[in-house]
Amino acid sequence: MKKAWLIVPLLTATLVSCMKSPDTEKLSNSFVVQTSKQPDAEFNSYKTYYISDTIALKTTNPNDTLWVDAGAKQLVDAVKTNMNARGYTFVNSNHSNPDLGLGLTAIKDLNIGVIYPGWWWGYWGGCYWGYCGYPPYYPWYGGGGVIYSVPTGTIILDMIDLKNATANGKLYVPWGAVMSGGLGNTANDLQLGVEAIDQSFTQSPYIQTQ
Amino acid sequence: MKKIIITFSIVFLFVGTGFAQSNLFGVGWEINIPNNNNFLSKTSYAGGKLEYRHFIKKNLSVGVAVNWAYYDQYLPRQTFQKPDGNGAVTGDFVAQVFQLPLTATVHYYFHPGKTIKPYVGVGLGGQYMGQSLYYNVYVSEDNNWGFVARPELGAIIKPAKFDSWGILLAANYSYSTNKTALINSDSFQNIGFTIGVVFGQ
Repeated sequence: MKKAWLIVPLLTATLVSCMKSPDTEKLSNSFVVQTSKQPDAEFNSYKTYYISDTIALKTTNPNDTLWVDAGAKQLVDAVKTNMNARGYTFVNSNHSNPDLGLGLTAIKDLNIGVIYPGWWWGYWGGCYWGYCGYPPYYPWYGGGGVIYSVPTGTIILDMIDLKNATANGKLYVPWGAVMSGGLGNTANDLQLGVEAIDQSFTQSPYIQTQ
Repeated sequence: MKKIIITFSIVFLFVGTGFAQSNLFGVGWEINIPNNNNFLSKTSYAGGKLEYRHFIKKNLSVGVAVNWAYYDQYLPRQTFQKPDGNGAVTGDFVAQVFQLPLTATVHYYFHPGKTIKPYVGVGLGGQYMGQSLYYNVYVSEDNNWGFVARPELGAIIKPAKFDSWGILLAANYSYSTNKTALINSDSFQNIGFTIGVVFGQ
């Protein structure tokens, strides 16, 4: 009878060893698209926007800070197509006083962990959008935003309020998207990146001039 | 994890060899159905239970229990909107949850001394949970402790009145305060069914 107790640790060990990594075979290589907005943002108060043809690149190489080829253009064009479809007008220069500045950042070969309030991926010192000393400000942090980590292969799209930047003394980011996928890892990553940008607008129907 | 369970088993083992008259040890297989908003829905068949009960009266016992369950589910591509409308996430995911409640228990028996002893009980304690969300080539993890309450209904069925072993059948509801930022959830609930054996009184 007493030997029957041996069954307990034996069974326990057996059950615990049955645990395994989950089957991730089914997972698609489409980007996971997270979007957040400032709760009181009024997207119809903005009419014009500007986005550069280049993408800020964050890698382990400190000199590798801009992505300028046709691939970058493809992603930028996807943003323009969506913004135009929502009624916003593109201006040719950020010196033409656009209401909104849109910025794309790509994270490659680098893992940025949890994003803390007040910290920003694109603002690593210096001036941004011609505003020196104005740190970008994410009003949705601390309110339980959905963005928690930025792994390598991620594309970030930020919408920055330039219209009220001087009045605010800050670069408000009323809306942002973090798209995590295999940027630089899969053959069709650019197409998947374009689909991710489209999805970021699809799940944010409130971005409208009307 | 493994160490915790083995330690518990050894404690049970030592305590168990002494006073079998007023003590009961149980080991069982558990099936768990998550009852957790719209996140997890797939039933887990990978679960178990170890428990010890000490009878302070013929119809009343106090004890400790350790349970564990492992959930694993593929969630096809979909958009989750934050309840406040200020955020959304689209993707397909594999959700994996490991649940380990450690509870102090109290049980009341309706027919002490009979071959079939129905009982009601409750377990209160702490629950460790490891929640992981796999997407694309990434994984986000959230491991933490929460408070857990597990009301339970069950029966101990002995082949004969004075046999020192019996069958354990039980059902429980489990509510825990384990939070996960991954899905903006601040609790985890499930319904569990136990089939096991008991040794002792």
